[in-house]
Amino acid sequence: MTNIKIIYKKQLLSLLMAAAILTVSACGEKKRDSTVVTFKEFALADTKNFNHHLVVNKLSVSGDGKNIYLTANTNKSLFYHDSSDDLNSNWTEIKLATGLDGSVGKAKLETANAVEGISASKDGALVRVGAPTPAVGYDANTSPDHGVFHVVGKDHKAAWASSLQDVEAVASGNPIADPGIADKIGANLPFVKAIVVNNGGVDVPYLFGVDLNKTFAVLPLAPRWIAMTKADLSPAKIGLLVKRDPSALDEVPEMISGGEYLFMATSLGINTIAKADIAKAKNFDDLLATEVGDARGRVGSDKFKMAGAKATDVNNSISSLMVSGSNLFIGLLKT
Amino acid sequence: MAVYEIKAPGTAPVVHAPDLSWKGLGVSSLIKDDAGTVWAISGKNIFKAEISGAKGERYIDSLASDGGYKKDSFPNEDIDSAAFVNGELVMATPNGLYYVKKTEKTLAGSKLVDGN
Repeated sequence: MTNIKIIYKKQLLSLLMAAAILTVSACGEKKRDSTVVTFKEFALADTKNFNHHLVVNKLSVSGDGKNIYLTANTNKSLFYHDSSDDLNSNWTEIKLATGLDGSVGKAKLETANAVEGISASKDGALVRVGAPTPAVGYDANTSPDHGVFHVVGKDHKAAWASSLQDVEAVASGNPIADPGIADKIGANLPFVKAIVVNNGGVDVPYLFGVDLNKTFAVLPLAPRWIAMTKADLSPAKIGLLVKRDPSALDEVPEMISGGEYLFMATSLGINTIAKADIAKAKNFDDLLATEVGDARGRVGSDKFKMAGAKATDVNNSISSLMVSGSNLFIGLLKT
Repeated sequence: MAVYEIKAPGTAPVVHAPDLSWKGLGVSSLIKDDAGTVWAISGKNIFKAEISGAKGERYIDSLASDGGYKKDSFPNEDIDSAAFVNGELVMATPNGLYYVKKTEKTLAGSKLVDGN
């Protein structure tokens, strides 16, 4: 009986020792794991990446997160990175002149001298180029090329100049309120806004030109917006979409696509445009239906108001729009 | 900052007034991270934009609580534009491009030494 007890004690001791060894071993593994520490910090990228330009301006990332675009040199230079881990090397400059053949949808844009806007597409970006500030008296023959190009990675895939060759002068299915407009579109209408809108999984360009020569203006100082689009971002003519707008749209600092809508920040607040209505509209008046006072546009038949805001508080102070889920976030320059 | 709840046409929209928590802060642009959270760039800071319209946490503070992040490396510069790349914030400033640099160090005795 005593011998059996001794055996039990020995077995118990062995079990306890084995458990202790396992515990020490586990602790050792844990300790080894914790010996490597990863520090993260914000570092300043070497200016040699950007042709020694110190100041960088616009930053944009493609929808798939794989392509980064950055302007520098007061937006006169455009750089690309493939989003690999090391952002302090391997930046490539993308020429604003496209190197394309100049055929329909492949404009050369040889004299474009600045990036005016970037809108991220699914796998690249739609880049709007031209002069830094479109001036009244714009002359298509002497002014720098105004246009947009679609870039995927660092390669130009398509490009459109604000020319008759690239912009369809005849409304496609839309009655033209002023027939004279059709003859002018594309001639002297530099694009002032270009965004990519995802329709049913397909990236579609929406381009907005403005009649700087006031060809269609009722009032001498009222610029006229012209909207254009096509089915996708492949090289082809851009079709006229909406003929003209009210003078309210003299400035659109921000425009964004979200769900069924386009949201435009204007001098009167935010105009909400149902995408489904765009093709049916004869002009911007049909779409926007803005009112003087505290109404900021409409969603369908509903007024879009900034509750609690005075008219003077919100006007001209919208800096940015962002759609996330079912919410539109509105950045204000002052609150 | 204000937030507008997008609803179907014909439905009364819900609009929040600009939230007072942003008073005195101008928002120059809005960015979105991979999780769909919206962040507001305001001068030298980045704030979380709550769905309610209220001002949320500072981005740098959330980084600091994440551990292993050098808080004092956050640039004290006006931020022109920013974006999330591979889940990390990248910022364009008048002083150049700030990106996230990772350094691995190993615990050797009681000291941290470069592990690269």
